[in-house]
Amino acid sequence: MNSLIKSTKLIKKTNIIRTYCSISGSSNIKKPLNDIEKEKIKREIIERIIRVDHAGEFGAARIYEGQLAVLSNTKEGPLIREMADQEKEHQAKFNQLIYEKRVRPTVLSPIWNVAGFGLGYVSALMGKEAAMAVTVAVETVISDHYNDQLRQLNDAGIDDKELKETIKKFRDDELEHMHIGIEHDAELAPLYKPFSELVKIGTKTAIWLSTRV
Amino acid sequence: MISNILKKSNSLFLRSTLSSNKIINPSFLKNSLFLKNNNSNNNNNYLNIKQSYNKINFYTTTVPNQNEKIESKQEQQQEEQKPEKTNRINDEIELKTKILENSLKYVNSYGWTSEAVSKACIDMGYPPITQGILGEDSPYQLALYFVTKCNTDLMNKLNDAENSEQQLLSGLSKKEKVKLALKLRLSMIKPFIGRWSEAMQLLANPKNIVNSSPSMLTLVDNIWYLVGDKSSDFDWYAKRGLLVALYTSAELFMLSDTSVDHSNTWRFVDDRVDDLIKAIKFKNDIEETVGITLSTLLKKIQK
Repeated sequence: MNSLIKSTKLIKKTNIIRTYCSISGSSNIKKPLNDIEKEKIKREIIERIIRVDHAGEFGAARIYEGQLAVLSNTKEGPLIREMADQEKEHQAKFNQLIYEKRVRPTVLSPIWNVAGFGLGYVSALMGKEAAMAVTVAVETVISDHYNDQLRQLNDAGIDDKELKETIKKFRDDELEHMHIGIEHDAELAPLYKPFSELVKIGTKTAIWLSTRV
Repeated sequence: MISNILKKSNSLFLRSTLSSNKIINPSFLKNSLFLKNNNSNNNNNYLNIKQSYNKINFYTTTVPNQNEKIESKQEQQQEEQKPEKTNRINDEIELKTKILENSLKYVNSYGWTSEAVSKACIDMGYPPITQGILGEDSPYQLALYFVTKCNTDLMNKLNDAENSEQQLLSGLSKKEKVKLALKLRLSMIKPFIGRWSEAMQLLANPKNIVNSSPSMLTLVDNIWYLVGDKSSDFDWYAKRGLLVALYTSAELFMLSDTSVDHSNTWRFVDDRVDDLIKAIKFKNDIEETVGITLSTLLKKIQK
């Protein structure tokens, strides 16, 4: 019994020492989370997801618009228009979520506005294969990113059915776009590999930035 | 001067006792000082405000109180006592909000000062040193508490479907909604208008601005949310920034406004909101024209 009391006293002492040490210097010890902090983290995850998805759909819609500016009168015109309309739907959905969940949108939207349109326009000028290659590269990254988000939501234990369903549905749509791109000779584009890698890196950077800023 | 030093040492004393032991529980504090708790207010009144006070800490990134930090760290190592400890945190927040709520009564006579807070402590049956629980800067905490309280009040008033104000809001245009919300919020500082410049000074102090800006941002965000503004591009920032500027200038105008019932302030708000809406419309028009000209240019280049 005595030893038990002694040991608990010792633990208390070391705890106090630890807390003081961690305050004064290194705070590498994992902090325990109270309920408020947990909620805060969950909220931050949701905010980040909605912010980056909103930016992504906005950028994607702009890419298709840029492509349409060149290719609207070709054989691929209606197809691209269909995909663009779908992206607009997605964008509307995330607009609504941004309002309902009161998430701050990304500051960089003017940049994505111009960059998306420019990417679509330039790639379409390079030919319809290049345009499709951009579609494939962007949609691959985005659908991967949606999958990551679903995993993140599950890991954090966030029970937001609406958000999860939305992400799942949109991921499937994006995958469909990717397949359409591949069916329409995306891989025949000049310098397909380096070009698509470049676009992928660009998309990933955009995602990284939009999550944070 | 001496009283100031005394107060400082007192608060230091309290903080040291609080942090070295785990005496966070206010009931323990009361017992230890042999004091009677003679306030019989029901807790329900404070529940809302307590939540909102929680929310400030929720929104700000800074740690509200060192004591809480220490306590939360001890929580991990002694998991069995966890529920009790979270209760203690809640108790502490409750006590803080009670003290601050009572201090508001003394603001008009003592200003946004630690004197007002200590008066409230005495009122509640605690010694004046209890204000040490609020941290070193109790006047600032008082001002921040008031602002946060007003923000939540405004949100509750306008967001409750059963409230009469909400019905007022429902039939109005966007412009009118913004005006109404701003006027309601400004009228909340009416009781303290004589002392409000001091509070503004406290809130805008460079050392406090990091902590007080979230309250301003939540106010502005709330207003645009209530109005039903669904912009999600850069407009989002432009609108909030402009409204912050508008609200602050309206507050400043109100300070020097001597007209009956602040009628000049209300006119000021009306005019400025009109300007704001005009500015946003103008910006959107420019964007549209630029977009159209660019797209026609692109088409010509292609041909």
